[in-house]
Amino acid sequence: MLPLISVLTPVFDPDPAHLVACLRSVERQSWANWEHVLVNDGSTRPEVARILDEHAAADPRVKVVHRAKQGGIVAASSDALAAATGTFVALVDHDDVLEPHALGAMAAVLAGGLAQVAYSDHDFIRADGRYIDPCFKPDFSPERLRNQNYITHFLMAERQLVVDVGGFREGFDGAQDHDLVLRLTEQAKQVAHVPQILYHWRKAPTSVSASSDNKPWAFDAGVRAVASQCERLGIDATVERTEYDGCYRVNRRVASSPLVSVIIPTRGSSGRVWGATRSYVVDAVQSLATRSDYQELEFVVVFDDATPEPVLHALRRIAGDRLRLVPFHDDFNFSAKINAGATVATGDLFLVLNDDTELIDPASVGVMVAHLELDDVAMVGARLLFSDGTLQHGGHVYHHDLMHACLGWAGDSPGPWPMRPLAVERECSGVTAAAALVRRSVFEAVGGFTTELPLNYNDVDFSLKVRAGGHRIIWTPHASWYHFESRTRVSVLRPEEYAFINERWHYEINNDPYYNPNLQPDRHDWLERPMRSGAPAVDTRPNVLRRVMSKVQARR
Amino acid sequence: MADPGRAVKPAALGARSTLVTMSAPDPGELQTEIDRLRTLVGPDEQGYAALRQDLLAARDVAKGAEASTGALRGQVAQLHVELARARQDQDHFQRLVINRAQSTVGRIARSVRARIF
Repeated sequence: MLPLISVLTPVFDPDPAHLVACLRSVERQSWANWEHVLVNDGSTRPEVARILDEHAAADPRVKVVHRAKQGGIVAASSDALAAATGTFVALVDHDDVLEPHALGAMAAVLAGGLAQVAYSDHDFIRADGRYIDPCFKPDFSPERLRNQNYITHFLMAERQLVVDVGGFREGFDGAQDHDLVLRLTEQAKQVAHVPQILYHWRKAPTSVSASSDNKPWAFDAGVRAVASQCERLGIDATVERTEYDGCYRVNRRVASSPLVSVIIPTRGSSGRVWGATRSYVVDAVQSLATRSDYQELEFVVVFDDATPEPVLHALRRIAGDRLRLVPFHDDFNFSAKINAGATVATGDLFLVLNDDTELIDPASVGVMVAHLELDDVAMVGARLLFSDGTLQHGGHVYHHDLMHACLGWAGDSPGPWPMRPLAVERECSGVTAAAALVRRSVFEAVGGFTTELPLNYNDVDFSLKVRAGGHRIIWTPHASWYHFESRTRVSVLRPEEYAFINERWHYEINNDPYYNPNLQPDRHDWLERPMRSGAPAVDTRPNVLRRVMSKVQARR
Repeated sequence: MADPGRAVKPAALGARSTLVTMSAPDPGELQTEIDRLRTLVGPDEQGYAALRQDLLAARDVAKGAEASTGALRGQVAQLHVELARARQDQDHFQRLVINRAQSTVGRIARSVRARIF
């Protein structure tokens, strides 16, 4: 027996044609065992009640509840939940459209019992009926969910779990779905992602999907929903809206100030940046020592024999007794140098830092340290900019190649619409070791950096080792450094290094859970595969036939 | 000339110094050195500090100019994505239409051939 799925739809004054489209899309589901619970929340348009009643009369699987007075979306959704009897509940807005296999595809992942909550990708329906702006989402990403309700539609969960977590809560109108999904994912054994567009969200003129100006209070409710979760999880933080609607900033307070060992491998080289010569390592240390708000720092500089004495002298002058100099006599090996620094470092946290960097945001180290207060987070990466302010690092993407997300985009860009990956703190498969904070215990548990990778991919390998240990890696846009790596530098790629990483992590570097299989391989900018951009489907029927078909469909 | 007979007191009790004795500087020699340095610095004795300020100001200007270029580069990078999207969709669309056209033409040709022969 197929489990019953209750589709919950609160209804308030939709365009009748859109309501009918919504009802039809449920009616045409390939999954037969469903019930559609519609709560008419005191609609003022008389045709709405008529359409609902006619629909209920025609199909016993449709249940309609009429509320005498408008109570708002939370009240209507709660009534729908109370009337539902299915094993699972699915949330559908009154003017949106499901793909015919939507319920089936979601039920397939939930019916096994491993996951209790599932969500799919979605796109939008433009006023002319065409699909646009596909949202190809990552697999479950709890940090991102705090920063942005990236799940929205299509959401399906075990009804009992929804009831157990308290259903829809008053006071969160406009962000009631965000509040619910935050609570659901806290309690669910597992959260599944179906990487298919199963839901088309209509850009109705009054919807948030059309313009964020329509329901400005929704984002304030979102702030409350996220703050509420922080309270439940014991995260000491304030939450605020950002300049990007729907994206929130969680300002965590650091409970303790553990010592951070900044491990910097160097050969003391200099170069010209912004028209002036700089000693890279000296300026990197100076920027941290003088600008960082977080001053529980020790500097572990692992230097080659070729490092000029004046450089070491300058480091001693800047860092004083916080400096630990570690001579390194072998051929260049980034991994070995970091490991050598780690053996001398005394901090509980290691900030692995390239010498050709300069701190931008004074709060950076504190922001990164605060993330490590959650036990399952082991590593945090930062936003790195080239000297011209374009993005060098926005988190790693492992999608049939090893890439930096949105390389070369404007440094202050929120990233590709509609997912805005650069505006939010989010889980990543990996982060660059040019500026990464890692817990010492995890560093030691995974055996540090792999010395078989002296030049390239050592951070990829390290990140994947960290994640294989069950830890999360977070990338944050609120910690930033300049990284004076040349944009035009041709890195020395060694085939044996790629062979090593490909052999050890073949599956992982081709299946990034925080990207999406519908996106183009070998790209890092969320470009979808061909014809998934929502471009109109090819209609090669003759014009006359097309017109007749449209009329027939309109009459139905 | 230096007077080796004059000793300099240790700076402070207990402070260790490798410099135990030092000859007293000759005022004339010092004046010569000051003149030489003045010649090097030029009329503005604040030259080094001013040069440093100039350097920092020039660096900031260079940084600003580079940032302006970077903003444009960033826009270009984003436009490249849009272009790639348009190109790949166009390419896919063309392939669909051409395939459909080819199969239609083939079907007609086969049907005509069958009727004639």
